Amino acid sequence: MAFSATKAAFEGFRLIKAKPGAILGWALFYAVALIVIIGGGMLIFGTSALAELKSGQDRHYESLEEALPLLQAAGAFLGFLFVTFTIVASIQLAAVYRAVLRPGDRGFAYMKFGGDELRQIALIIFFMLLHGLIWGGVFGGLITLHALDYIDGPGAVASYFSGFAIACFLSVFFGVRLSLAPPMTFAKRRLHLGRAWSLTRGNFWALLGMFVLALIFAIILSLGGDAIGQAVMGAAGLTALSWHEPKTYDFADWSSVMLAALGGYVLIHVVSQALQLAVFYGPQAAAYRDLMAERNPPPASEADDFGPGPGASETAVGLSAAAVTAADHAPQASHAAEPVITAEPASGAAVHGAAAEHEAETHATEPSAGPEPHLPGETYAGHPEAQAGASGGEAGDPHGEVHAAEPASAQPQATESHPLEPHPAEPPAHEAAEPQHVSEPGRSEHHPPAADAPEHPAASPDEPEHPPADPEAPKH
Amino acid sequence: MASFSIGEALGSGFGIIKRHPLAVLAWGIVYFIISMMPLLLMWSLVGGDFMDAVRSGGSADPSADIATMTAFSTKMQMIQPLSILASLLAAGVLNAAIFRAVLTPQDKGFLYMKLGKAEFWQALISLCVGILLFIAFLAVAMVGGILGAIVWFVGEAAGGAVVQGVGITLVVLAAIAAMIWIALRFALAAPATFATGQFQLFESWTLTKGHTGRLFGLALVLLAVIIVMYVIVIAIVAVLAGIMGLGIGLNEDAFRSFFERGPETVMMTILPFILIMSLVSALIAGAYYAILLAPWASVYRQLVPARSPAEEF
Repeated sequence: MAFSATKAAFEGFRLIKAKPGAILGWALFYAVALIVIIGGGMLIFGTSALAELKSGQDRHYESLEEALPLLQAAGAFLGFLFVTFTIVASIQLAAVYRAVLRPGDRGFAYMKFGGDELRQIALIIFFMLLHGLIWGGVFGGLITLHALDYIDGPGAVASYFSGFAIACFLSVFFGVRLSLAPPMTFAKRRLHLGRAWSLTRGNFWALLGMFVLALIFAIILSLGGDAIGQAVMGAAGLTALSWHEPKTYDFADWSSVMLAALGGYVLIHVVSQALQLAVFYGPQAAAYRDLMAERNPPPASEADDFGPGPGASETAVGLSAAAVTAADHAPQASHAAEPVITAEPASGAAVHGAAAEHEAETHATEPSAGPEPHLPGETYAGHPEAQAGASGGEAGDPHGEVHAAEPASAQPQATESHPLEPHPAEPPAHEAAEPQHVSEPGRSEHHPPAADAPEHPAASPDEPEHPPADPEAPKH
Repeated sequence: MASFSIGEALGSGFGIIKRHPLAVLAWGIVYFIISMMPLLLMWSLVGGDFMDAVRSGGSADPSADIATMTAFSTKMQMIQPLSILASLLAAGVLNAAIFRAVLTPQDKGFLYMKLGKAEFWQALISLCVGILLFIAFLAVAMVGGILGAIVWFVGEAAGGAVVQGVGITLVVLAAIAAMIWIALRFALAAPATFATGQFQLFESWTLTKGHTGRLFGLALVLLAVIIVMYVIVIAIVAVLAGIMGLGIGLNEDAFRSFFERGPETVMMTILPFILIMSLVSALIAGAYYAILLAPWASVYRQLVPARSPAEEF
């Protein structure tokens, strides 16, 4: 099986190691965003509202109208926070997905703002509604039952507790089953919920385990960041204390050193946030990539459809092991393979496919294959995932890419079997895996980074025609 | 399906103690020293403040007290992460040493101790398993809560506190069993991580499939061994305490006058006792952990035989 929960859970660390610059970029972006959000919030909430709050600590509002300006200001403030944080989150999410799924598409630290981000915003709102519905439904129902006296006393307590537990389980269940919707939507440039749901079928527990592990890593990073931040603040506080004999608590005396410490704390906080972002959402993208790689691209005749359903893919696995090989070694190519509507007939592609197949095979056994799939002579075997698989697991990366406990690694399996198989279906996949063959204009959908957008063949102006090599890609 | 022998697993810990008594002793002392480092650091940082506070017993100037206490608590807060790191490091070094002695005895290191990747993975996997089990505990508690509520209502309808009592007891027992089951399923994560040199958490779940019963048996036997060890240690402590008690005097007046001598004197009297106890625990810690941890490495090796060098190259 190509998808391993433990392996995917470490994707964030691979990302950090391979693209430290991107992490710094995310931290910088988050710092700027925080300044903008706090500054904007102050402006919107308004000095008047603040003054009102300050003066009105003991004030009692006689009527709603009297309190209306304050309520309006608060409402505008909350609305502003929601909108800005959603936008920030969409940019950050898309950046992580871009770094994992379209590493050639650099942007500024993989951050952009366009269709991908807007679709992520739609999904963020969808997930908020979904979880709101679950929690609101469960507790709304319970409160109604309570109000109507159907439940009371210890029974009510037990019901609320059970309701809480049930809501937790529902949230986790739907959260995991739909967890691949954001990366899938990103990769396919189109909102996908149903497909993401079916992609997680049979992998619920593995995905849950992956998310729990990623969460544990994120918690460790968060606590570590807090500890360092507090140590900085503490050291500053002690320094300030030592300056003053006798020891005083006049904060004004401390302000310079404490401000510097606060700066340090904020810096540590934003870097920690960027690391957590990679560590938690990197695995999500990796899980999507690996699970898609498990699925087989459809035969060329079905290429106008958006990829196979789970059943279809299982059948297809038997038909074309070579295509699986290509998909395994070229996870993105498998996305590319599904939707390709080529300007060139499949026969032409088949020639390229044969060459690509040879190359893929060669590179799969070469741990030292180059870092990026976009260079001539290189396939996705050079991708960290395929590479780690190819390197045999004993040597190299410490992140547990190959697992002794895993009964069969799909990569060697598929690699071994494909020369024996006829493969009518794989040319698009191989062609996508071998982008150096693409030279005609109008065939940009064959580029792995751009190939996810078959329905908008020209709708990716941000995609370079010939994506540059990625010097940041990991070299193991 | 390959299985494993509980006796062989249990014997592995004692085997290490027998074969490498010096190493086992050293593990305990190193574990003790690493764990103590933050405490020593803490004492060097706040010991003065603490002793000041003890001596003065509340001075006339409250603001000076507040300043002392703030400095004290700030320093404590700064040391806390260090002590967590130290305990992780100690666990990493100790686990790896024990697993090295069982799984790769030819790799001697310094009394099987090293400081490298294996130690880092052991520290990380211990932490992850701990947090994972905590999350599992929350999930089990939630399911248990729902079942408990259902049993409660059904019991009420069925008309009896007895039914409710029995039902709730069953639910609690089931929850405990579920927790033990989950813990056993993750029991091979640490040895598997050591043996493969890679992070192996969910792989333990696959490895232990079909072996939970025997693993439970092993855990029970280990528990019995540990209880016996505790009884022996407590007996030693009781004897030591008795000696010290004789020194103080066992009657009430002597006892009272002992504590009337002032906190500093009391502390200085108790300190040697604390030090002796720490030394004793340091000396037996290596053996204790070897007995407790080596069996899981042995189980792992029995389930996943080592590849011969010919296979590896």
